Amino acid sequence: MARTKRKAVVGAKRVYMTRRKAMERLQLTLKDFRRLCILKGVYPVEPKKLKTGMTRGKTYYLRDDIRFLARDPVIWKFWEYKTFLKKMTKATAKKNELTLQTLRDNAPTYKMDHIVKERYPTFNDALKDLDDALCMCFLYANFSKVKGVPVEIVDLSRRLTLEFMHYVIESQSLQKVFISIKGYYYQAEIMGQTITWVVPHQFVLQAQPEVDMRVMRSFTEFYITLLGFVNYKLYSSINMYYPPRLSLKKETDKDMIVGEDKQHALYEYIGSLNRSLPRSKTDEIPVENKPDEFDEEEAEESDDENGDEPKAKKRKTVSYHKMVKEQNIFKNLKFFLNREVPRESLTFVIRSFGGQVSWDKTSFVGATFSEDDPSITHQIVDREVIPNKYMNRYYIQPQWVYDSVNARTLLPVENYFHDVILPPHLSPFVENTEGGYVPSDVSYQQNLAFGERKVDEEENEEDESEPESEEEAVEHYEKDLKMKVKAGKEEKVDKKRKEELEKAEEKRMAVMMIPKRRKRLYDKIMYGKRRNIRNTEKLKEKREKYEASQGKQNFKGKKAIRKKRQD
Amino acid sequence: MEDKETVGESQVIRKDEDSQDSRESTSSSKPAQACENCKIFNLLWLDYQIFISTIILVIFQKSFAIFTNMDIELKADEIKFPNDQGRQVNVTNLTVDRMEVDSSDEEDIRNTVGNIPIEWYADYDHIGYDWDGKKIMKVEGDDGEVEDFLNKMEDPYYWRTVTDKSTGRKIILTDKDIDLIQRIRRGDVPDPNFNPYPEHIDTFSHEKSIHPVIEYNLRKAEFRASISEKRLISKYVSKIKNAKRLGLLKQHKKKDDERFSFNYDLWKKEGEIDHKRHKRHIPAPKLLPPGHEESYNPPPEYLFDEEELEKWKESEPDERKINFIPQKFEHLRHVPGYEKFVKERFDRCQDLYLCPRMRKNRVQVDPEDLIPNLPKPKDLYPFPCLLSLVYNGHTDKVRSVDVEPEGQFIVSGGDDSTCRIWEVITGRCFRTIQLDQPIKSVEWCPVKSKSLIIVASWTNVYIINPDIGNKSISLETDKLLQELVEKQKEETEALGTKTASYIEWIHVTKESDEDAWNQGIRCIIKHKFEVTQVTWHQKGDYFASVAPKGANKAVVIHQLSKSKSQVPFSKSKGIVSCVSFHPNKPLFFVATQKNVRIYNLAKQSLIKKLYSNSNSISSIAIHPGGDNAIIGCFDLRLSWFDLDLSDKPYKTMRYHKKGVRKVAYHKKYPLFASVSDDASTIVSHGRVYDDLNQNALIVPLKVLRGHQITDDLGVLDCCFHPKHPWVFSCGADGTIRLYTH
Repeated sequence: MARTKRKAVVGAKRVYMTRRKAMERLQLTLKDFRRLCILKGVYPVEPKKLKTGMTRGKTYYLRDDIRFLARDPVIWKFWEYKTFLKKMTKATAKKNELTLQTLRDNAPTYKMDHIVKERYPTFNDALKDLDDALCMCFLYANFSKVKGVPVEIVDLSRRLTLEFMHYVIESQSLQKVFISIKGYYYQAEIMGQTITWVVPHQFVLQAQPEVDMRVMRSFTEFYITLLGFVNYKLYSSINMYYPPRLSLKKETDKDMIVGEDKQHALYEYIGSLNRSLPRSKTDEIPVENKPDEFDEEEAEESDDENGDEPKAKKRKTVSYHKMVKEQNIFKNLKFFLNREVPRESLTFVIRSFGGQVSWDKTSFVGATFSEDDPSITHQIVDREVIPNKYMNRYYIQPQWVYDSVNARTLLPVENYFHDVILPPHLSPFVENTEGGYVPSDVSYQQNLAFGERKVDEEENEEDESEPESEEEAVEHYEKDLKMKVKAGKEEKVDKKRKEELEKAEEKRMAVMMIPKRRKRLYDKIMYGKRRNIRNTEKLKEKREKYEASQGKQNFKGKKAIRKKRQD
Repeated sequence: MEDKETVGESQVIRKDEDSQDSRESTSSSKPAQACENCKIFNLLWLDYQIFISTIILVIFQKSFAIFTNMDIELKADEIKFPNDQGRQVNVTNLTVDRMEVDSSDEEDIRNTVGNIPIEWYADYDHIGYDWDGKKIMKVEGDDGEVEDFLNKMEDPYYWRTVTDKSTGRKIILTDKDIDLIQRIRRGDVPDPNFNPYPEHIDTFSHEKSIHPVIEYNLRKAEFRASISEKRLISKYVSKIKNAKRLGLLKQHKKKDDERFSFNYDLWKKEGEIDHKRHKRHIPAPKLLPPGHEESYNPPPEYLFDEEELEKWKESEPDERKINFIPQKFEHLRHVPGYEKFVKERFDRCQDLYLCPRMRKNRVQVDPEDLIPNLPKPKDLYPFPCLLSLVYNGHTDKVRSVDVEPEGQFIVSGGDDSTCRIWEVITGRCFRTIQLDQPIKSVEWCPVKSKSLIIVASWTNVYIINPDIGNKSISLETDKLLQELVEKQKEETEALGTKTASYIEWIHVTKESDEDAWNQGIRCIIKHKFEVTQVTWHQKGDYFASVAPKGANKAVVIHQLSKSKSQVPFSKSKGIVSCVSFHPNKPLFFVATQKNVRIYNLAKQSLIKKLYSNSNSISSIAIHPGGDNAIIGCFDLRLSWFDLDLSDKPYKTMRYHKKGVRKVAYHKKYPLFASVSDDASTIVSHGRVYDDLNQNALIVPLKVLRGHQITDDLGVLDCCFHPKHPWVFSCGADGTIRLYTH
């Protein structure tokens, strides 16, 4: 019998493939197909034009992508898993405990090392895509016993995130911090890449019915692998051991870690974030902090991405010396954390900027000094009443640390005392754009940062003298009440304003002559600008209203009212 | 399989032997126990024969105990000792002596408290209760160390004396007991009579015996391999084989340790880049960084007021600008957990693996670059830019306005059916001519030697002598018209009423209609349809009227000197919206709604067709040079045509916000104006160069406002002053306005 000729695949069919077809081809269930797509980073495409045989509302994948999926060895593991499940159901039905146990013990697993390598051929690629990985791992690290969250993954995430935080502390690469209602945002610059992540507030995270934990898990498994290898590389780049070993200098500490639980206790210690990790060669300067190379890297980066060019340039102007100074704003300061403040976050931030931290020994392991240490400079508190205060330290609220870090200088502590209404906490991620709204607190804080506090004091003095001048004015007014004829004044023509008006009209006339195809673009741009301006004005108005309602007191924290001054 | 069976058999055999042995041993050592109780009596009898006098009482007692089945073992021991021989016998004798002494006084003392720690009785005088429920008192007086020492020294049985804890009494161990203890210590079989090496009786030997050992016949199954066992074994075998095949026999390792072990540098060797794939790959956009409003302690202006909150709640989640409500907390400790954290992460995950990605080029353009570089209006002075005069008087919309060729007067006509003549400088209304119907169009005769106005009012076109300005011209005009009347009379007599069916010229004389004459009406041309526009030829002899509903007779050209009308087109090419004469060539422009046709009147042929790309042309104006034209359309467009260049617009302006009503050129200055329903007049610079290679320069100069929008109509007509760069405009608000430079 003659062979039937296979129909040639032509046209759109050659390029695109529906999801159903793809699943058929790969012999996977939808669940497995999704998992594979997640691991391999394959996403659907939207055909530019719907060609014959294509339907709107269907998900299309590139045929190349599906071929790429089919080629991966992981798919064998998926198939194995499918048969494994079949065997399991059979054994369960037969109540064959022995088989069930052996099967369960030998369930097929897959490694994702090669996928990480494939998706991120260079280390830089991996760093670029680390945002989501970090967010996800930090989320999983904070999960408690939730249905559908395996404990091993939670433990791994916790371990890896702690290791990453240790790296950030050691390399002093933290740039920005922000407390939002969603969680803590951090931004670090690692090897020229800006990495932002968010850590949820430490509360029990509730599983939500609309969240598919299986999808989340697939992502997390991949991200854990990615983060693990990234950690390895980062640790080795600054000559640290990986997995981390804790340097225990004092003998007393060694005594604390005894017995079989040594590994666990070690991780508890690492978890405290309060010990620096040992390096293999301590004398060498970490690679990325070398000034020259840093600049070069920056330059390379800027070549790669045109969008970041101005940023890079800006940063180049910052001298190495200044940079080091800015990264060590908390040097020679000793902080003591009360038990009610977020320990992990504060420790991370303070240690990243060169400070020393401790807390009550009974609240968590890793305390280095006790509350009665006379050398403590700041105690971070967040409660109404403090029973016994020490005279030689500041009692401040946690926000001071974050604001100081963002301002890259030690802000005056008076505005952050424990019994004071705090100034607004501003986002360091907002970049001032043209026409955008800038809260007045920003400029105020900047002034503080540059040490212009004296100006404010003067202003205050002026404020105090104001009532006197008002009285004088009243006297003047009474004098003026007598009838008088004043010489008429010549109406001045404001030249500037006239010119401005003329210019505006000229522009308006010229705008009328923009050809149609450009006109739309122009209108769009102008619409966006106008909307910005509108928003800005709205915010300004609201602010004014607020200030009017508040009166002069307490505005900008100039005259922060002490609710209860104890001294 | 067979091995197994044999093993099983041998075990069975061993067991049998054991039982035999034990049977033997029991029968040999403890005859009394093995047999019936009556045998004891026989033994007793034997004993009696061997040991004579003293023992008898004791034995009786013991046998009594046996009879009462109280403590068989104890009795057995005691009964056994007669079998001991030689020297030991003496010892036993002695023991028995003591025992006799002890037991002779008291009855069998036994503690009935049961198996409890004896310490519980430490505080009491007694240790427990005997059979009769009487207290067993503690034995006192032997606790002293001296006493103990003395006992040690004196008592030869001291070493074999032990204290019974439950009764507190001292017991001297018998030889048998000691032997037993020693055997246990040595690790021997406790029973001295046990023979570890009995004589082997080969019952089930390999030698075939003729007779069966057992009395019944063996079943067939006894000779065959067990089927059930065979099944079991085959099952185990298959399991082993299977496990080998599946590789399950490997020792199981810890899964996650293996899966997630990061102990090498993944990027030591740069990975191979699948160039095609990586080029195509679009990295997912990063999440937007948080703004001030997301802070736990934001500036107060970022918090929602009630209105915003309501709006936020009402809007769909996708439409919201921010997916949370800004909140302010006084202290960090007040901040609660964020409920939707997991959900937001999940959404992000979904975006990552479900969303198609697409590159979109964001245009980074400075809007200033988009604005064309034009000369400044200041440099193109003079042009009308100031509102100088407002001519009030019309009571309804002013539809049309025109200037006298000298520039001293203007004429206007409107919906109040009046045609008014104004002096430009003073703004005074010199004359008001009341007509019967609303006026659509007025135009002053362009020739200075004639003092004539044509007015289109409903179906009539009036020729009016305004009788203003130079008196002699006015009189001359009257005379001319008088001649016409006479001429017409002659003609009508000669030819009869030829065109009377469609167009009718009615000359007004002083005699026929004095009122009309006094008003200045000299001639009425009656049409069948409503006339919307009238326009003069440059030379002042011809003029054209447009009646859009007239189909092929929409356009009529009238000749004043012959007081004749003719219809130039035999076929309608669409609804005619306006017409115009060329300023210096015998060309005639007819604008239908879609396009403009240019006819040569001398040759009576179509020369050109201009395509406006519009569906509703409202007006047309010809440049005084004659090579350019502008067309205003109701769909906001204003198109400049270069007649030599192309039949498509050279430039289209859309600077009006509503339909363009009228366009006009200045006769001297390079200016043109357009009026629109948005109540604005836009004056633009339109310079035409003599050099054919250079395109016209168009620069909008000024937006003139002042008119009010009434009934959705703004400015209806405009015209330039013939000498100065001034522009007149008339609007639906019933005013005429003059803008000067």
